[in-house]
Amino acid sequence: MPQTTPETLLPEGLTHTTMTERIAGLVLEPRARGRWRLAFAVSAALALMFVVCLGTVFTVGVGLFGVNIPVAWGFPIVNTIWWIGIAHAGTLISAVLLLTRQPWRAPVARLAEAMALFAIVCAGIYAIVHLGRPQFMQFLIPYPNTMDLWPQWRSPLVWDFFAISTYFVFTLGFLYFSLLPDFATLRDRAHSRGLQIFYGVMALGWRGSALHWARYEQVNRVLAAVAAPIVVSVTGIISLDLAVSLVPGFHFTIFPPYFVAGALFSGFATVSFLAVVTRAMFGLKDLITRRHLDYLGRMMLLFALVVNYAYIQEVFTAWYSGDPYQRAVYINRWTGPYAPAWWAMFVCNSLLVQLLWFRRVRRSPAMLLALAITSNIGMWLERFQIVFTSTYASYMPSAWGLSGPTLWDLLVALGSLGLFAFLLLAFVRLAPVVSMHDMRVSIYRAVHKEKSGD
Amino acid sequence: MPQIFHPRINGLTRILLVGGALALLAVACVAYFVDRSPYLTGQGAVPEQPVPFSHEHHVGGLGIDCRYCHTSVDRSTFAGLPDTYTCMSCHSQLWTNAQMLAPVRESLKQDRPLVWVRVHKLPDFVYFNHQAHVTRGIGCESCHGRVDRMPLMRQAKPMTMQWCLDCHRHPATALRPKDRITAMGYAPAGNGDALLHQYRIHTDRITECVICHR
Repeated sequence: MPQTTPETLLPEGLTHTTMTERIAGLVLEPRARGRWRLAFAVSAALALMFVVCLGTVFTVGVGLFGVNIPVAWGFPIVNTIWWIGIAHAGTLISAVLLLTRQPWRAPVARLAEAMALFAIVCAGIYAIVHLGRPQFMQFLIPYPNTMDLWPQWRSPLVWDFFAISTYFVFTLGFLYFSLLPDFATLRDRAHSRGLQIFYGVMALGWRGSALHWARYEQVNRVLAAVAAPIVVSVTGIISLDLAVSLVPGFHFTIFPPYFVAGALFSGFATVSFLAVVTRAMFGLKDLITRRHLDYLGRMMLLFALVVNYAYIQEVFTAWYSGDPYQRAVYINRWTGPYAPAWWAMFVCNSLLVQLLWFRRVRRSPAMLLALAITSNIGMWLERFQIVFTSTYASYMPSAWGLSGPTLWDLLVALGSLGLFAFLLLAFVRLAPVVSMHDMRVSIYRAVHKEKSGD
Repeated sequence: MPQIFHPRINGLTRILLVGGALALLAVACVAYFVDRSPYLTGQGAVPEQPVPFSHEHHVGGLGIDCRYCHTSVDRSTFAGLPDTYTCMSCHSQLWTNAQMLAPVRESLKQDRPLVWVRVHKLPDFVYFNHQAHVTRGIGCESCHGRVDRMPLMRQAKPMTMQWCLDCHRHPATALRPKDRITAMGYAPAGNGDALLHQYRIHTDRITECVICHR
């Protein structure tokens, strides 16, 4: 990565006052709300459909999904892994880029954190859905019950529960903590009494004193340091759901790092998607510059290459094992009934991403948006083919059976997208979409550097 | 800029934060105890029976053995409930006109069994076996309590899985010699380990899931 300077990432003549007025104005005096309203209405309707569909599935049973006995997990686990993956880049951007002091982090960090939180909400809901008997989910929690029953610590389901809940609590805490100074700004700028009280309560008495900032910095660093292991552990644990089984196609030691790379790839793709949409929707093209998009594109490319390396390793391991069943799974992925999913994944994750080598592609919002969408589709197909092709045909041909999604699978999947969009749109309406205090630091550094240079 | 919040709000917030944490703790404590209370376990419940049969009178007063009525207790999973003929083996001679026994005579006349109400209920996923228990040194009293002191039959124990496991983890304390199984008020003689060996009870096996859940 070439040497970057904060000046080029900030528009000319941006001061603390103009920046705060613009960002806070997006929340307090929103203009051009037509598109937001339309998007919010559509996503709210989809989120409502999600609730209704899940209510039906929980009442009638998971038989509504297209799961059967060879493919016992189906869509719910595919979507759990997909959402967890998306959640991942949020923590990486907000924490790891903070620790490594990357100057381009400021305008996209808030988006990434919010995305992480809402994606983990969807992942958590899907994890409960995939249990099969969600009404017994309390058995995952170690609590003193009259059955003297403790969770089965050897079960990946229990690991999932702890991984997802840890990640949820962490992202919620990290996001809220970084919002405190911005809520205080909104409280001070709000005109109506109701908003003043709302943001005042949300700001938890933040006064911006030197002591507050000192503590803020301290806690933020500690949280960021805690986040780094979480980034690699949570998806790693989810991948063990598959890897600890003896199913050919699941049973690989490469799975944890492979899933982490895939998660970061899809996460960066989603951040790119949201960055492009946000800068267009809220007119932030000078704050989230093409240069930011360029960096996001590079991160996408980096993790796409790691994912492709994992694909090669997976195939190599299957061949090198000499195990006919392991090999058969791969031949089957390329030629069997689910082959279109594999080849579509190959096009999305291996071929199309190569366009990101070109600077012009990375700097073009439309191209980046298109590649973000194809990458997320590719990553979804990757999880689909791992889950479906590995299980539908195992050792005994008598136990083989195809499985396909039902209408309920599709409605719930669409509903989860709706819920994600609904939460995100509500968030950008209530909180600043760009971290104002992080931007102030960037502006200060830029001005300071200019002066010392003179 | 005017103050948005009164200075007292600081104190109030602290009270609310501490109070909220305490309230959560209180809810957890209440839930813990309600879950174990007779209200939810049914301990002490006395269901209404077709005939107000007194175990106190028949067991404590007359000294009839449990197996006289519960005939299959040592041969079957189900202890067995007495049929009308068992009642009538005495009551065709004794208290033949008692109002209390009218349903028994009616049952005999119409050849319809008495519908006794189950007092000790277990969920249908629990495969409890009376035979396995009474032939391996577990007395009736251990689960059903002092029935010789119950004018009307009541649920003596909580019947929770925790309660089952208390004994399955430490069976030696509850074991009795073979001839004392139906005795009431039996005090363990401290020979639990010898009995454990005699009954050939494998303590490592009897806490496995499949012992009770199949």
